[in-house]
Amino acid sequence: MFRKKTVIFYLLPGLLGLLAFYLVPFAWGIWFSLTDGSINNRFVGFDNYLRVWQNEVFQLGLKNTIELSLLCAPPIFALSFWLAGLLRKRVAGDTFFRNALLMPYLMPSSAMLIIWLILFDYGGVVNRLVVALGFERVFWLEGSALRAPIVLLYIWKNLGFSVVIFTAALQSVPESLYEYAALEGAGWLKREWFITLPQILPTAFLVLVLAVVNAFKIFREVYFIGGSYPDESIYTLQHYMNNKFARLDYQDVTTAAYSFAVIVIVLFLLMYRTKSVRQGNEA
Amino acid sequence: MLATQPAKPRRSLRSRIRKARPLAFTLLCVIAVAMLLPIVATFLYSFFPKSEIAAYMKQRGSYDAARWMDVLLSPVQVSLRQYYAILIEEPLYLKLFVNSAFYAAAILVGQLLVLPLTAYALSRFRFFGRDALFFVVLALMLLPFQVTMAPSVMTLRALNLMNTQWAVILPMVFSPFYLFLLRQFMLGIPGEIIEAGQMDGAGSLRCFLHVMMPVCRPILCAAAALSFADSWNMVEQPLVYLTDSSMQPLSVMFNQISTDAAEVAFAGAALYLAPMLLIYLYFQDDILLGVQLSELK
Amino acid sequence: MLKRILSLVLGLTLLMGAALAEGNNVNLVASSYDDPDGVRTLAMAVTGEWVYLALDHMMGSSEPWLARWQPGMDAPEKMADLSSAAASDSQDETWPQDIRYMFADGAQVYGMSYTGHVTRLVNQEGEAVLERLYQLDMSGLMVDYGDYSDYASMSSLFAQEGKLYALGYLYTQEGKQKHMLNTFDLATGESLACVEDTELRLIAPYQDGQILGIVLPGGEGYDESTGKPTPYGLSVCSLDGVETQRLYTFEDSSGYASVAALCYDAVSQTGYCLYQAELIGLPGLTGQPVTYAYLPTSVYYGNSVGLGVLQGTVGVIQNYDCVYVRQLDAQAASQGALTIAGEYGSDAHSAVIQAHPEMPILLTSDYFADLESITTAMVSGDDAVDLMRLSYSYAPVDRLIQKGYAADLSGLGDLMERAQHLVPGIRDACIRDGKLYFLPVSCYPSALGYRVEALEALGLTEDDLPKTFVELFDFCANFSYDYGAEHPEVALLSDIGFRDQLMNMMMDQYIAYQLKTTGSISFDTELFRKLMSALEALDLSEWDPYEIYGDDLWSDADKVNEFYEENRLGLLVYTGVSPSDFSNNRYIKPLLLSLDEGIERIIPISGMEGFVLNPRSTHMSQAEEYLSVYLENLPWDASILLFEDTNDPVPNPYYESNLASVQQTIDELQQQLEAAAPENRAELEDSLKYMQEYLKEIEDYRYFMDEEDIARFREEVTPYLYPLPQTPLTNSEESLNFSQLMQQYKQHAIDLETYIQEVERRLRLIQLEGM
Repeated sequence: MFRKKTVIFYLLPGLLGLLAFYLVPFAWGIWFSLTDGSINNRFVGFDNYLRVWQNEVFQLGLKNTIELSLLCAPPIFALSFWLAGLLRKRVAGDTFFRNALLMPYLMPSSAMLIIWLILFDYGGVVNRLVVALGFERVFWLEGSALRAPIVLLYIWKNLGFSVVIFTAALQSVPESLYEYAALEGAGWLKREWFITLPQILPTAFLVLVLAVVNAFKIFREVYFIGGSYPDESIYTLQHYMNNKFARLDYQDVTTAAYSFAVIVIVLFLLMYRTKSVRQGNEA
Repeated sequence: MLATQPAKPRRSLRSRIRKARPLAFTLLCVIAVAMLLPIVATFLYSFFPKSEIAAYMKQRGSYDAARWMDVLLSPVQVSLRQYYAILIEEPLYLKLFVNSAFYAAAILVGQLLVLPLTAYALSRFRFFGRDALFFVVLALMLLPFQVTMAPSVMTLRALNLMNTQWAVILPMVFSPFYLFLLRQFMLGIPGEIIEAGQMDGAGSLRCFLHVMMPVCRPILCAAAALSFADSWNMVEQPLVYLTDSSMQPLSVMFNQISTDAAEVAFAGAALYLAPMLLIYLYFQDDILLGVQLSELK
Repeated sequence: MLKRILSLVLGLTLLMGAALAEGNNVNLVASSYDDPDGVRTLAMAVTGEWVYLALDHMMGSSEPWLARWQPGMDAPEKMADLSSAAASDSQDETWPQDIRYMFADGAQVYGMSYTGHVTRLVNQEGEAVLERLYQLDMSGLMVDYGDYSDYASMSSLFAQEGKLYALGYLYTQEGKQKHMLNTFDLATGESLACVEDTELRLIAPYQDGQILGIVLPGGEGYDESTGKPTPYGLSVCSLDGVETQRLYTFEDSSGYASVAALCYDAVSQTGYCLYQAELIGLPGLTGQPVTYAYLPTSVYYGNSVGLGVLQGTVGVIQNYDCVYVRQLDAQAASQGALTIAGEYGSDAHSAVIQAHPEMPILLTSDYFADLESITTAMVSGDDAVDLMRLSYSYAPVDRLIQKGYAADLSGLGDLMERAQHLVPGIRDACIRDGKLYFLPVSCYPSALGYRVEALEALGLTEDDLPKTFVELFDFCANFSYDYGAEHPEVALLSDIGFRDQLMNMMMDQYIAYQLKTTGSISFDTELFRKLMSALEALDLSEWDPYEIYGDDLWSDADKVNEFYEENRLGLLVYTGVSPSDFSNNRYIKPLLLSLDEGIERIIPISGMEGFVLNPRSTHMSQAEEYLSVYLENLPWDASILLFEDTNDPVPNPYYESNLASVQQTIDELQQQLEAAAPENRAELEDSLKYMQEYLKEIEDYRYFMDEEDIARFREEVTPYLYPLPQTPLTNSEESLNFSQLMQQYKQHAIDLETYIQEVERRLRLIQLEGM
């Protein structure tokens, strides 16, 4: 480890940039949310927060964002965990499968959208599948059913990322533990729950966090599909913020944004503590 | 706790694994197909001539329960016309493509110049506030773009950078995510390597350039590939920071291409995906490595 | 004692000086068209001491005359008539009557016609002479089209050292401007030099064998690198139009650089020009230009714009019909002017100019429509906009008020008192919580109307006409059944594209109704569905070719002509609901409808314009004065429409003169009748009868609006007026989507229910997000 004062030279450019483009806006934003945006820009304390929280549409956006995250994150977590398990068993061509899973992550959503809209059209492939499985056709692109294509798009995109992370982590779990457990008569589920998860807890934590955070970023896809004012089932908080931004209501944007940020950070800290506690327990 | 002789003979774990393989294999195949289908379809449809695509697009949006959309597997006629249209006739696409490439390249270069240095400092130096700073970086990484969207605009305006290419490039250059990635990796490098360099009489800078960087090559490649993907696909920043549509990258303009010109849209999409595919295929292993390394230790 | 006398004299001199200085801000010729005795300028020339003007009356055929003015005089004094009868010399009857241009040479003044005929108007001693001289060799300044010739318009014309310089411009067949510089011998009119296609746009005499010019390098075009129009340059040029020294370049940020006039004053050694709405000068011809005076309106390049400087300190500006005199005071001008945006020189504005020629007013040509540009314009420092004339429906007035960008006018003079007398619907929009934020000055509501002649032909009265939209649809549907057989000459509609207009009107009223009763807009109502489906079900194909052919109709001139050539008497027509539409209009009357039975009528106004004052303005008192005088001078129909206490009948200013002239004609005819031969009698008697009937009609037109008309207006229109604010439908971000949806609905790509759903979803979210 170096202790020299030359550290400042290494830090300086990055620090300046972070300051200018991330930290200063962050702090400025807090100031924004505490003023009233009039010609004199008076300080109004928490008035904005109270007003925004009481706004129906803000609440709708918040609810949808949270619901969508809940719809996205657990499935991804479970699916990627399971797939990683499959891949770990060294089936033939596992590199190919891993690549196939990862490719969607790099693909830009806007280009994929056309295909997605075709697939989920009323007369499209997905409906054919649905009918083949014995259910009724669904109008995927309208109403509350819109959530399905969105969530599926999200899962499609982000599955590979999580799978690869899990695979790497799973590989670090010693084989012997499993053999041990099998000899003890433990079923698959028990094995996973008691052996795998504790071993890869940090990774699992990371995947969950990333899944949730990326779920928040789903806005991009929703915006492309539904525009600024989509169906109420997919109107997210980012829509609220984006629309307010377009109407130059900077106060409301920042108020909503920081309310959201607080929620995210609290969530993150909660998860972190749970993880630490669990880790502590294991030790 | 070794058990005593079991009552029934049990197949060893290995054979059970072998048995599960075909099932796993099939499942994985199905999933792989589902994953790749949209990408393949895009490329496939980009070779369909205008008439077929137009007819196909017309089938969309019908509420008729009796009708299905066709599943097109191969074109009656392979056509490269739309590629021609998009590359030669419609110079706008190329311009946007070039814009995207320019932004991605500029961001990469910027990141390369700045981030390794900073990550180095954060990982290898001990100084006051290091961990606090790192925690802040972490928090910044978690927040979605909208949180700092409005004040970012004000900041950029104050710096007179609004509606310039710098508005898009600079914030991405200082991205907390890649800083985090690099820093984690550097933390993982055993101290001995550095010490070896020190013993050879190298100062911190030389250590950095000649010892650290070569070792970090895999992560740098991974980060570069991921960063390129991010820049290639970025949407929010250009939408908000750039009002001049001639400076927009392709990712933003894409959704404005109408479905009337669907075949051109497909060709455009294919061309848009192509660099990503190539990057991916070339940097496969590095990307995997990078992804694996974004673990919180 | 002596000291006292001296100080008195000093004081008086100062006072006189001040008065004189005040007096040097004069609107010399600035009549409005409403004034029957109005005078206008035809041409102007400025010598060092005098302004010479060719004037005539705006109305009626009067002969032009020559006048001159000097600071200190009340008004221009007439020198001589300019008609050819008063010209000396030459019996040439083909000599043209018009004096289109004037130019000075020392103390002499010449006049020139459109065709290049030059007359000496004033000689060296300053006496009016009117000497016909010669016709210029116009070959370099005209285009011969065979059966007629097109002469160039002169942008600059002056004499220097015995030569006449003429810079003219023409439009080529392709519609481009072409500028030519011609030099003539002043004594003979012979052409000495001709430069076709010069880069010069304006020239002015300078010194040492050089001229000042405004140049546009490369002609009209765009600068490749910046994408902006090529900037104009002020330069010293040689006598054949070659730029020798660039003095200043006009970088124009709004993309429309307009230098309208140029002159050089040897006394102050300053080059002056008219640039947009300011008189700027370059002292010593170096450095940056300085504003010396503000012009009453923006002045644009043309053939009747001129600039001169008197006595080194007084600027004289000709802008077509008007001539203004302004004191050139850079010091005073540096204090800035009352900056007004959105006003383009209405009559009320001219009235303010007339009343206060000394008030520096700057009309910016910048256009502000969205919140960002408006707020930026208000806080942008020195050239911040003080007063903004905005449309209540298309500009975000509500949000400006919310955010405090509209000053409270209730403390300013008697504006609040005046505003209390606004019509109720409008008053509620402008005065909120006892504070006045918006001062309306014009609005033109529109509505459906009917032709009186058609109604009479059908044998119906006003009471038979429908009172609600629902009734109207029935009326239209049953029209041919009810009246087709007996009155085939009357058609239901007078215009093409009726359905569109009807739908717009109905939607405007529906939105107004929603806002008035519920405070928000929702299309998901029974009423809306009822109205829209009734309109959908209405079949107008019998009456309107657009129904059959759609948009293709516009590309087929024949079909369009066919419709209008039928020349049937159409009943329904699109008209306005301003007082002038309620006045003695015997032809078209408004048909005011309410949405449905049981719902009160609403007359929505989309397009009410008014002023908003910047709360940070540094010209508050001037703004107050401006608004006061402005309100007092609103055109009569705006006054009556906006205010409920303007109930005086509006006399027709031409009544007297019309009456007199008709009476005169009658007298003449009677005289002729008495002296006429029998075979001519019948014709004369007919004419006489016709004129006597006309006399009766004139009585009808004695007032633009008489007491009865005003009372009816107050009863039928005033209580129902409702100004439409900006709604999510017209708000710029989503309005594109809304109009797209409307297009889809109109083209039957989506049905009514889908339209309602889609629009409702967006409307609901937008309104709940918080306007």
